[in-house]
Amino acid sequence: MKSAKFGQHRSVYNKSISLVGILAAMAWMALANTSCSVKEIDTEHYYLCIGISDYENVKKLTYPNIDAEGLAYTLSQRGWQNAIPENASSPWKDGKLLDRNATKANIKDAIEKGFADVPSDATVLVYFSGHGAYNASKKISYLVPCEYPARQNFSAAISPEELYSWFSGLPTKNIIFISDSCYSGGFVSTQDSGDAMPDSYQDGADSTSVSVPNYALANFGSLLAKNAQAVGGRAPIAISAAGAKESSYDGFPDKAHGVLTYYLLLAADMGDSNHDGYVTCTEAYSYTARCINNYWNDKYGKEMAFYPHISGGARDLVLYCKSQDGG
Amino acid sequence: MRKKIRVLALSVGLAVLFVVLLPIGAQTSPLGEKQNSLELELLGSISPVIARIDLPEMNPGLQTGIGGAASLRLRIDPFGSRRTDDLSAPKVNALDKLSLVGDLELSTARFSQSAIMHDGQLYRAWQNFGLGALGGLSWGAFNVPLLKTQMVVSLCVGAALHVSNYTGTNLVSAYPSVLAQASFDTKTNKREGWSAFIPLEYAFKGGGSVLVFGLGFSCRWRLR
Repeated sequence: MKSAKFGQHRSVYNKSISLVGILAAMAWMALANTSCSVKEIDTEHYYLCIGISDYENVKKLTYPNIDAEGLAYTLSQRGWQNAIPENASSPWKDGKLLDRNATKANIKDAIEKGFADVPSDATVLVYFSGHGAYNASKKISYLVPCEYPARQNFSAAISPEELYSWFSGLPTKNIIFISDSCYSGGFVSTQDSGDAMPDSYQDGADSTSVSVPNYALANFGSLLAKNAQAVGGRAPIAISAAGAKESSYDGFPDKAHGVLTYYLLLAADMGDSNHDGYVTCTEAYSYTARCINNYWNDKYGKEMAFYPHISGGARDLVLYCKSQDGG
Repeated sequence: MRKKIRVLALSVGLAVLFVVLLPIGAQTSPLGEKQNSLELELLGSISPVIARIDLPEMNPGLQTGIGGAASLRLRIDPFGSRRTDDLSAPKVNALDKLSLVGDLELSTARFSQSAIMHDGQLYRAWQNFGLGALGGLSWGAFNVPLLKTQMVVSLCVGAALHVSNYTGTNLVSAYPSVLAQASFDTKTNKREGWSAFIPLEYAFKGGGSVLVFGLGFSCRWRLR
C-alpha cells in the first residue's frame, strides 16, 4: 500500500518536473537564440599598423616591420580599410607606417589625421611593433619611435597619456590598440577589474601560481572599491604583448614574427572559440595568451617568460570579421 | 549612487534580520507549542538565466547563462506548528500558513558573450561566484490540482557580494547586488523535495548595471 502511494507520488513529481523543465528549456533556448544571434556588422573598420625594425640610434630589431605588414594584410582580408592618407606624400601608406617613417611626430599625425574623417560608429585599430621602454622611477611605460636617442630620454618616446590623448580626439570611440613591445602592459587599463597576472610574469613564479580565485579573495576590498569608482563607457580596448615590467620577444625562431604577433595572426583563423564567425579582441587575446604560455613560456623557461595583458571592462569589439573569401 | 547604496544597505539589513536574528526568537517559544516550527533545509539548484547588461554610452545587451547554487534555508513558523504528517490537516486560520524564510546562498553563474551589435561592439562573456543572504515570507501549503501536489510559495529579498572574471582573461572584479526570489516548493512528508524558483538580481557592476532573471529548479533535503 505504501509502496503504491510512493509510486504515485513519484509519477506526479516526474510529470510536474518534466513539464516545468521542458517549458523552461524552451523559454531559455528562445532567449538564447535572441541573445547570441550575430548581426552583420555594417560599419567601417580602419587600421594603422606601425612597425619599426630599423631604429636610428638604438638596437635594430628583426621582425616588427614584417609584423606590421602581416597584420595589415590579414586585416585587409577581413574587411578592414587602411587609415586614410592625408596626401600622396603622407608617410603612412596603405595603413602602414614603417621603420624610419615612424617618428613620434608621424605616428601622432597618422593617428590624428589618418582617422580624422572616419564615421563616429567606425572601428579604428592602431598596432605598434617595436621597442618599448620603462621609467622605473615614475612607473610609466613608453613606445619607442624610430628616432629615439641612444641616451635614454623618455620625452622622446610615447607615453600612455600622450597616446590616449591622441585617441581622445578621434570621431569614434571604438578603438583597439595592440602593442607588440616590451613593457607595453603600461598601456593597458584594467578599468573595473584587477589583473591577476602580475606586471612581470616572473613575479608570479609560474603559470600555476597565478590563481584568479586567490587574487580575488586577497584583493576583495580593493576590487569592490574599484567597481564603485568605475564609470563604464567606451574606453579603448588594449592588448599588450607583455606586462608593464617585463620584456616581450621579437624573434620567434622559424616563425618570422614577433611572438605575440605570430599567434595574433593565427588567431584570425583559430581564435573563434564560440564558432560564430567573428573573432573578438577577447577571443584573440585568449588564444594568443594561451599559445604563448603553452609554447613559448614552456619551451624557453622562466627567464624569458612573459604574458600578454588585455584591458578590463565588459565591452568588447570584433577584431577579425569573417574573411572576405568566406573562410 | 547614494540611492543604490541605500537600497543595498536596506537589503543587507533585511537579510541579516531574517537569517540571523529570527532563529533566536523561534527558539524562545514559551510553552513548547511550536515544536518542529523550525526547519533547516539544504538546497542544490540550477537555473538557466538571462542577463541584461547596460553600460553608459552603449546599447544594452542580453547574455544567456547558467547558474548554480547551494544554499541553507531556514524556515520558521512563528504562528504555530505547521509541519505535520497529515497534509490534509485543516488549518485554524490564515496565519497558520505563514512562515518566515531565510536563505544563505553560495552561487555561481556563467554567461556567454552578448550578440554582436551592428558596429562590432559586444559584451564579454563572464562568470561569477557569489555569497548572498535572503529573507522573506512563505505561504502555504496549497493544493495544486494540476500537479496533484501541495506547494508552498515563498517570496524573499536579499543581497549578495560577487567576484567575477571575464572569460579567457585574468581580469577579476567584485561587485554587490540585490536579490529577489519567488520559489514554489513541493510539500511532502519526506526529507527530500523539489522546488521551482524565479531568481531576479540587480547588480551594480563596472559603472553599469546587470539585471539577471531566470527560472530555476532545486532539490531540497530537510536537515531538521
